[in-house]
Amino acid sequence: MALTPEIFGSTIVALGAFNPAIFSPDWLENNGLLGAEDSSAARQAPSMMVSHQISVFETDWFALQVLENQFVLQSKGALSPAFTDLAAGTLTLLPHTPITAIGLNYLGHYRLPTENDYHRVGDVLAPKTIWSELFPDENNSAGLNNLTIQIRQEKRGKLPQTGDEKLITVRPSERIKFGVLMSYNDHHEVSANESNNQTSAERAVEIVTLDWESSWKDALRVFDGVISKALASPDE
Amino acid sequence: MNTLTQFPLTTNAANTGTSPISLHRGSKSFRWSAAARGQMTTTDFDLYLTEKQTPRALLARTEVPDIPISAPSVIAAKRLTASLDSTVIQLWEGRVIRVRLHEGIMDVLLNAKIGSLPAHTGEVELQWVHEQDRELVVPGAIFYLTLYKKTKSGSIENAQELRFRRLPSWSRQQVQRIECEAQLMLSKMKGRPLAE
Repeated sequence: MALTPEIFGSTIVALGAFNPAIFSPDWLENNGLLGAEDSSAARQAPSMMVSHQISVFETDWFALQVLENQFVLQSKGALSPAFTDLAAGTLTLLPHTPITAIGLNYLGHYRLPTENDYHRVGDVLAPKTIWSELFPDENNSAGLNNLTIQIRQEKRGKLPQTGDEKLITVRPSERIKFGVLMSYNDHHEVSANESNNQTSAERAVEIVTLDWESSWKDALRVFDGVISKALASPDE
Repeated sequence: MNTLTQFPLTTNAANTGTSPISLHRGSKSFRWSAAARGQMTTTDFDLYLTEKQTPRALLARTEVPDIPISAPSVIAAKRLTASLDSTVIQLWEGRVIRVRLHEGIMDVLLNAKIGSLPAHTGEVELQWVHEQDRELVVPGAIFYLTLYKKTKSGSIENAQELRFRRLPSWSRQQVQRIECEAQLMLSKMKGRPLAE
């Protein structure tokens, strides 16, 4: 049976050249992307700020931060495709924004059944043999703090064909006792397609629209796989 | 290494890297600009300056400041309280089939997004549609029904949320592109042979 996370969310990050002053709750509402209540809540939230160099505001279901070179939309509360619609819709409104990369990020906190299982995951992913030899004092202990694995679509030693890659990170959860926090970054390099007059922003929208759901499912597959396989690994 | 779009794992006050907002030295006033953490572009919702960077702290130091201090042009950043506390149990994409206003009900078709469940029809009372979405409730409209578990301090909440899909209107360029593609497809179609 697949493991289910206790907490799960998503973030969409786009890199490029943005004009933060454009991004405001009113602008989203006037373009049909945000309801009147959400727009009002965002305007009244203490965190709201809209300026030439940074725009920040949030509602109960998303938080948006736009810098001159970065667009970040983070989910809050229950995750749904409405979150993706907001990201895609916002970027659709600015088809000539130069975008160089887009990342579909997923984050999950998983609770392990026992403390032993919790340590087992860390011991399988990051064996402690070397560290125990380097720090032999019995009063010392080594533990996994942060592990990131990069997945690229080419064989080791070969030059990458694209800049696309996935980064999977594992670390202890600060929210759940004996929990593991995992993140999945599905990174895509973006450029304009002159053959069909598609701008880089339109390509980014295409990635968000077509890949977000499949990336979500793959993130869950990877998260479940890492923990399940770690727990099922034979003892060293 | 490519500039990455990885989001940091923490959105609480425990910053794990440099703030995306840094202060430029050598200018006559503090300027806000985005900074990258090495080759990775990450972001952090905790936008407070560190204690060492605040004007008050700089004034408290004994060495002569190399730049005159003036008020930043942007009001000190407010904390963004983005927080994750929920996980999806089941998610349905729904389509409104019919709206029975006098009964306060909409007939819907639901497609589960998690697992291999068959599509099914149902009735949803309009009281579960937020006031801001009422104008979106028309036949053909798409909505998302999420059943989720929310972790609160001291308890677990089982809840559901219904949110209608919102997309921007078609842009002029999109319409033009579609018309061009339609013309191209039409030009490749052969006329039907006439029956003798």
